[in-house]
Amino acid sequence: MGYQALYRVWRPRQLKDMAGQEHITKTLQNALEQEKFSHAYLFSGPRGTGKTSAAKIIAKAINCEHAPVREPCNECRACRGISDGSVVDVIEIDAASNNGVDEIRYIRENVMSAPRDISYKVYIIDEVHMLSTGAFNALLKTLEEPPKHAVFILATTEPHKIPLTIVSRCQRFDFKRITTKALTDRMNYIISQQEWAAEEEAVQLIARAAEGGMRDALSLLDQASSFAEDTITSDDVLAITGAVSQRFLAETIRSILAGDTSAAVRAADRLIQDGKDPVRFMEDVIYYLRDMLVAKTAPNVDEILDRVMVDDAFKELTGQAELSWIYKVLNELNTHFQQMKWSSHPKIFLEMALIQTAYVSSGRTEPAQGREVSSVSSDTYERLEKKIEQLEQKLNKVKEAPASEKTEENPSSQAPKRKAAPRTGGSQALGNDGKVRETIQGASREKLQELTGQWAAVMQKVKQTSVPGHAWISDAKPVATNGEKLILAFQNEMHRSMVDTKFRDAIESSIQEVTGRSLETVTLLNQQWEKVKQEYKNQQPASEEKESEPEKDPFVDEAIKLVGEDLLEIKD
Amino acid sequence: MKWTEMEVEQPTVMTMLRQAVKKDRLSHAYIFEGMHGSRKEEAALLMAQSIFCARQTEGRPCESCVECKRIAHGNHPDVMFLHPDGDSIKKAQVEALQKEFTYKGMEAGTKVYLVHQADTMTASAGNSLLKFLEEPASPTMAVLLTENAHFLLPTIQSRAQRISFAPPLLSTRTAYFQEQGMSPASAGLLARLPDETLANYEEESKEWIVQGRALVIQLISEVQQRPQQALLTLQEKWLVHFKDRKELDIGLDLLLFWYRDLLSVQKAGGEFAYPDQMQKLESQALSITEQEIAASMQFILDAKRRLRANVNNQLLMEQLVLHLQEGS
Repeated sequence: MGYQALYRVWRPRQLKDMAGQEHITKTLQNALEQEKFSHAYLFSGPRGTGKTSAAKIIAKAINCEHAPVREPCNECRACRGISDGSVVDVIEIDAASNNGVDEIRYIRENVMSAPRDISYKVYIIDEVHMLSTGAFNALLKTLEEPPKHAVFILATTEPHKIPLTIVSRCQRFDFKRITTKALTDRMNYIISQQEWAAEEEAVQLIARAAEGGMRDALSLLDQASSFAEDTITSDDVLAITGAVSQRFLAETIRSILAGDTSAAVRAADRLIQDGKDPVRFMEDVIYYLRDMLVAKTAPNVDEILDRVMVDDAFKELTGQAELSWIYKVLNELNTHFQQMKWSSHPKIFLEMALIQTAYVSSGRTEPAQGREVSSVSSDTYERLEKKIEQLEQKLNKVKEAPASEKTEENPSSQAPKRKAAPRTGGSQALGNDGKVRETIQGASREKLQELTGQWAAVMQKVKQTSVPGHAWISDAKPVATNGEKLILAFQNEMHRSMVDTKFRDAIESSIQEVTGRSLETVTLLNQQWEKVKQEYKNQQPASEEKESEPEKDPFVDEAIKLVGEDLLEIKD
Repeated sequence: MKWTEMEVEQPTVMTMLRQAVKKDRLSHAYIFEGMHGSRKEEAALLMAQSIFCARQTEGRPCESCVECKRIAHGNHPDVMFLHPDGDSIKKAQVEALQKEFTYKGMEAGTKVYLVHQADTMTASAGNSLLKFLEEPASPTMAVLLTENAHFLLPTIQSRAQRISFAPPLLSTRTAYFQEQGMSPASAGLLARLPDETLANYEEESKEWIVQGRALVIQLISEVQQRPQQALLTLQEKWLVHFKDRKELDIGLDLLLFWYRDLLSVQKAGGEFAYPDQMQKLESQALSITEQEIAASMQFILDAKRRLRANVNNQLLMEQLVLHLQEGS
């Protein structure tokens, strides 16, 4: 296995190669040139920002045969010796494995002796936050006044764990996260050196996924290049990072914005099917929103956008969303994100979070399409078709259960003529049957879904106004609505007629209060409803092809339930 | 041929590994992340085989030579395993491993080590591994297996290439449990449970899970319809059946799946955990709003979190039931 990981091959060998840490490299270069370097340094910063690399470069620079220099030459005997580890005077200590007082005592004893090959003894103590308290304290005196020939460099990702007495004895340098731009520049350089080819967008994606760590970026690049056949494409990168495309993110956010929970849940489902990481997805959504916030408050400052590439969908969403909405959603998602990491059902968690966010953020806004009522466009037919299929299946099940064998009565003769709201002129003359037909014409699955979602609230309202009314209506089920009328199907004729004659007003007013729209209720028995629906379906030429489908073989149905549709092949 | 089998199950992962072997670009450290049952270990062993195998073609091991066989049986001296000692991987274990790796490989140059349940590494063990992971002295490959890479130190994550395994398909798992002699109904539930909770219940779980399922259905319909009864049932049946924390955790999972099903009913789609209870689900879905379902799911997830914090089981369940009633 002669292969070495990219980040080891391309570890910077000179201070000027270090990406994105100009504030540190410049200070160090000047200090080296003027021979004013300190006897103890503390490098802190997130993973992959160049702490250990900087420490190694300093060790070389102060010992370089051409010293004082701004950069190590990497060619003289000392530099090469340090690089390949043959010089015993540069000591790299893994503090995590050697964290006891004994190891530090060993350093203390050895530090007194003069270096053998080079002019300075350099102790690089990596992961120094893992030292025990005793070890830290044992180090204190040595760190304060080491012999002239010794330099200590401490490196850590968690500076807050280091005692203040240590920190105050060192020159402290805080490494910051590397900007996306610096990452892409470095990666592009490496790609050209390695003679690879990569899409610009792929490099961008890697840089964003790396979150400011050069090592992360190079690891990903490494992985992408071994995964990719030829050129590194953005699809390759998405596949290895488990991230989703920006388009998918935009869609999800749009559905949250519209309060369309079904779409949001479907998105979550698709995500899991593709084997993506829900936690990662949540994080991406949060960053997308963060960038929307930035774009909203400071337009024209594209550079500070973290993750998002500005495209049309992004602009559109930013235009639609309100600042307060973004704040709310961000807040909500952040809370969920924290808990999600520790959950053993990330998928369910994601769904729940999406639903709650959609509600919290938008109150109970209805999707925009709920308003258009009258026009029966072709896609309304399609939706209708789907809905009928679904209802058919449900009803078949109901039918299997012993349905009450009642003689069918014509609802129009039974139901007392009641004044319909004078919204549509024709409906009065047509009577109940006509109303049913009319309702079915404009009915859509979305509207029904919306209503059934709120049905519980309606029932509570009814209970408040009239307790017996609630009792009578509790066996009814909303089966179709077109936004103006609502068909309620009853199991039992007695219930139906009671509700129809006595409690109609109570129901209608409750619906109005809950949904904010007045719906006229039309009552039917289950059997009648099925008949009407069948009739209607026969009239629809568009649905002919699908005719046979509802009459599914019960065996096939059961099989689908058991193994899922994907795995099933049906042979006649 | 197991490799080809795996290629069907985890196409992305296996292509990634094959390409890496083929191009001789194997990284020195990998994190294999994926749910239990996504066959991470098999993939890791196969990868080890193709490194050592003398007759590998296009990155695929032959799986019949001595090397391959020894790795498959866990007998290869240069392939080592690290299992959690008790609940966690201790620092001493990592140190022993490092010592072992200062020696040259027995046979070929490379040595491979697999860390099982890498997320159980203690903080000091993880930190000890860091330097060794980054710049091992000899040619080494590390494979860290974990169910959730987020539990690993960020410094470890950035040193390794992370490979995510797709979760096993629900239907595959359901079929597997049915083969084990479960009824279709309980197989569907078992398939949804995370495996680590199941590990101890493989054998006696059959009867137990069926009863638990019936209890969940009973409790929920009481929560919805006869609130006074629910607390009694809790005391008399639920707490007797789901005795300790582990069992209660499963019970809460079962509850969670019920609410997830309600959501599916309202959204008209998805796979159901309780397919034979459609009528009940449908009627309940009418009397509970989507928001309430989401809130109930939140309550259950909260309860699961508290359970881990060692609270009193009975109080926890009572509080949960009261919350659920309020929500509905």
